[in-house]
Amino acid sequence: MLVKIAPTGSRMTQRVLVVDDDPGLRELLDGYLRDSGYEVQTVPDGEAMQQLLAHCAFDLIVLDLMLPGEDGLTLCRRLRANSSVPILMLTARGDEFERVLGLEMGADDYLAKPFSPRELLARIRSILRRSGDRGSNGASRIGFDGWALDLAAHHLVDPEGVVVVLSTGEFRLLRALAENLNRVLTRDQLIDAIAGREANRLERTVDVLVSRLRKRLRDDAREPRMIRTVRSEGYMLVSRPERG
Amino acid sequence: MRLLPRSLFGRVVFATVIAVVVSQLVGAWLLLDERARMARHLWGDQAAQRIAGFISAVDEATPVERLRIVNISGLRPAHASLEEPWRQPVGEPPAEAISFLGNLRKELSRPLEVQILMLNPDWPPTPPNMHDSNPPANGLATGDEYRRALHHVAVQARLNDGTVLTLRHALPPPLAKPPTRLLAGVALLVAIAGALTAWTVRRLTLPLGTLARAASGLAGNLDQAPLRETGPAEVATAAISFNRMQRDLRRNLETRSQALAAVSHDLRLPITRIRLRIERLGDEAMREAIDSDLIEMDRMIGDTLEFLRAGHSGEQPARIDVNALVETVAEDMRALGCQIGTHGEARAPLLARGQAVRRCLGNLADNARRYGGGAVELTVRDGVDQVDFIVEDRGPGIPESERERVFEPYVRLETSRARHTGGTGLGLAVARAIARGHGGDIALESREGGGLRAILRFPRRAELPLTPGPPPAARERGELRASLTPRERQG
Repeated sequence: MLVKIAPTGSRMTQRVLVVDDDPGLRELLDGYLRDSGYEVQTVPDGEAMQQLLAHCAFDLIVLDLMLPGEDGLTLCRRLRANSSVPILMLTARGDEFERVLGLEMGADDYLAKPFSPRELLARIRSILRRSGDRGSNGASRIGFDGWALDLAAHHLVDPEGVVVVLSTGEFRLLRALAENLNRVLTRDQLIDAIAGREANRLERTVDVLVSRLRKRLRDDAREPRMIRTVRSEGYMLVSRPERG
Repeated sequence: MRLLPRSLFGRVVFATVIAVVVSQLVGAWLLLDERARMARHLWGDQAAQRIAGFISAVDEATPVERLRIVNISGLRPAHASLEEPWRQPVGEPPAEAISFLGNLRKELSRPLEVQILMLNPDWPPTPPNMHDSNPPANGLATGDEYRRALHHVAVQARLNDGTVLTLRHALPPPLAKPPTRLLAGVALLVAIAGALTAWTVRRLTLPLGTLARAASGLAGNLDQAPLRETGPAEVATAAISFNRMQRDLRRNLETRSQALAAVSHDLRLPITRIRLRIERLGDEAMREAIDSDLIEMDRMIGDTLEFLRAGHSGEQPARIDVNALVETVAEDMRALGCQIGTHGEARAPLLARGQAVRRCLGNLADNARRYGGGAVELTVRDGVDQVDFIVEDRGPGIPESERERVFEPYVRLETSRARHTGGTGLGLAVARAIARGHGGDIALESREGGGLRAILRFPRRAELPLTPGPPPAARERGELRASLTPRERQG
């Protein structure tokens, strides 16, 4: 029941490089991403990654944070020095400090183990979509209409600079909408985006989360100005983009 | 026996004063004794010679000459007269008097009958020429006081014609009266020594107080600013040792946290693998069930980690919208099927770590949902110096004796319901650690009409310490934390 969405641009199969020291996880990710339509290569450490990158190009690198030899952060910074290839960091700690560091080092996104496979897929798609649009951008904030969504701290900042704390679901949904400003996201895409810890009973949850987000954004539920409902399609966050 | 003061300060001052008093009294006694010995010595050798010479001279003179000699001779502090009768001795004269008498007899040119009498100062009445007499240079007393203080020694000699020659001499009594001047001197010395000791000891014991406060503060905050390693050698050494202990404790704790983080990392990896593996399971219900177990496992790991670094997760403080936060928590609870009502409103944003506060309040609300049975009320009360979040339920409550215990990690009250409803037993521990990390706290009390009331208090502050979490740079800013400690105590 994987929700398959053709990779944007759909020129050819997109290539993903997985760097993780655990052979089991490498094999599983390889199989899973292959099933999802990607071309996958896996390497166990930074050295092997560098060798492979010397003669192969990838559309995205899934990089584990804790690696033998050089760690993921160092590799990430090294990669950023001469490449804009999108990077998705994996970690098992999941605290904000690592998120901040990861994003500062130039990672495009960050995923904490144990992630759900759907969540991984959603993040990969989201990053590829973004990089297809306007190149990689490791911004840690997305701005819209005076508001800002802090990707590291997982919170929203209102136009006066006051922090509005979001639940995990609220954050994920708003993030998906904010990453696709002024573009309609289907219900399926949104389910994908919030797919995480409670992957079932999500169909209704999208509507609930949207109404909660409207409250957080002080948006009028009857005549929403920011998160608009597009009938029989989905939702859209409307704003003049101001990424920063 | 509460004579001995309890404080080190009191004891040192007490001991010093006692030592000064005793040493001064012993010194005074030795001085007086030596002085008396000296006086007796001089009196014995020279006075015997002089008095013997005088007696011999009077003895050999004619009666007319005798009167003249007696009248002319001052012999101060002695006094001579020919009018007094031969007195009967009252009691045994002291040993010195007898040896003096022996000396006197040896010095007399002719053997005469001589006797020595110890007389009270008021007898016989002081002769007129003693009124303006100068005191002897014994430095003890002057004038009337001097005369009153003295014993009189009288030497009587029966001259060859039977005339009685009486010579009176004043003697200082052996400490007959308390030497008030000396005592006043001792008192002054005691006062000065006491004051000096008090000042010194106070200065010496002040660092001890600081040390004690630091030691009691350590339990709550391993990141408190190190002690100043100054002062006397012993105090500085103690401060250095204390700081080293604090560093070691912190390092130890960090090592353990790191070990736990490593374990959790190692646990999360197989969980991740299982989640990928079950994607291939055909049985969707089975897959969902396994996945929810995995989620539960991950939550336990997360809770443990959260507790270990409570409030230290690297999140930086920011001004947060309290009302939106309360709504979020309430909506999370409603999503779990809990009836929750919100009341009150905050007037201004609160400087805090938003996700941590959400977690803290969420844990309290979740606790009320699990054990409180039914409706939960969530109230915000915005005070001048703090924001209170009040979570109330209508559950069975927690007996007073257990109210502190429930904040200990992994403690679940042994009610059958608690076991069924799950939870890792870390919720309240994490909540309190977060509250305290903000300088606030959580109090539990019973609610009127049954149920439990949890009051979560966050002080309003102009600034919060930067997270002393993983970034070493933030660690170094210990003084910022220290500057907040007094206010933390109030709050």
